[in-house]
Amino acid sequence: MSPIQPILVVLLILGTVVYFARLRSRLRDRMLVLLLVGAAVGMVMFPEWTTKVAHRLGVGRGVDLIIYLTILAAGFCLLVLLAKLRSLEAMVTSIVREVAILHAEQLRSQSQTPHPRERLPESTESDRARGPR
Amino acid sequence: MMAGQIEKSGANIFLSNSIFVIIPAFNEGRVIGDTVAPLIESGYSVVVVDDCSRDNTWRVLEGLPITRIHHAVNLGQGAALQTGMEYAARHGAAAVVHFDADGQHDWKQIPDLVAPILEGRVDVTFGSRFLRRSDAAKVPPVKRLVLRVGRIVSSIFTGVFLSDTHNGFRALSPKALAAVALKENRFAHATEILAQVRRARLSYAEVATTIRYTDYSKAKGQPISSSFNTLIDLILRKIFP
Repeated sequence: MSPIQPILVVLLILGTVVYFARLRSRLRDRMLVLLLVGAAVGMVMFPEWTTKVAHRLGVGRGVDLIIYLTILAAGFCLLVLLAKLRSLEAMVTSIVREVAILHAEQLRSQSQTPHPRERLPESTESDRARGPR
Repeated sequence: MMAGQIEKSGANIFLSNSIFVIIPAFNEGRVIGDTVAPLIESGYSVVVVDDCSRDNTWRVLEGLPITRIHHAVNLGQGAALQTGMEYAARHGAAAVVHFDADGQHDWKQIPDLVAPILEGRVDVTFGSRFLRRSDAAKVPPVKRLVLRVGRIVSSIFTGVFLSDTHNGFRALSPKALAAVALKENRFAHATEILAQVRRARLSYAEVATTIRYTDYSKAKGQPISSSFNTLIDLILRKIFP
């Protein structure tokens, strides 16, 4: 066993522990992480496996195959994060909007200056027909 | 039109204060007072959405008979418009007008823009600076080219072909107000609104309007480079709806 192998295995296990301890996650995600970490540990401990798989796929070295897969996974993670970021942005927007409108209505009710709607002469039939504002 | 005057439109009678003029504002302290003054005088319900300006926009408007809405963080023009529209919808607007804070839109043209809506002919009207030769001539040549490209991109994304897609002067009926919900916080909302109009099968028309280009409005306007950013926003929205 080369010295890098136990180091990588320990780091992988540490990463998994941190994920389980700090990030609340669904069972499905946790199973997926366990599966991926298991595969990673397998690749670290038995690098000849990856080489065999790589040869079957027409890739020269196992490490190259892993690099390709890592790039794909990183791209996928980026897309997921981007989607999450957008939904977070939508949430922030709706909160800011709601607070802004509530504050404006509060200001309006406190203000001495009547809103244009209130300072107008008596409403017409058609205006009344539209019901309370 | 003076405050409280009644605007007659077909068989219906509407008070001009049931028309909500929504003005998104970001650092417009220098001009916003002049922009809202004639609107207040005309009796419209003016709603200024201050998108977290760093200048004196909020203070300049203090004490005026308008509704001031303040975003606690800067969200963008599209978000500010949507905030104004939600406010207007909650307060029973008969029509909503989108109006630029920098004074480039002509307040005298609001009755032309809202008339087709108040008469019940269409749900949405879009101002266009390309329907009359005299209005089109006022558009700087480079801007005209950019707008033309933007028009083509917008029509590809939305299936709605307008002569002036990126004109911020538009009006919506209560029905349109209920159907349109802008999610594009920044400038891509101009294209998004078209897509939503089409999806909700809202009827629309273009109305000839004038854009007044001042040094201020030119400096405040979107730089041409921001068109690319808007395009990226549109593509992202297609990928992550």
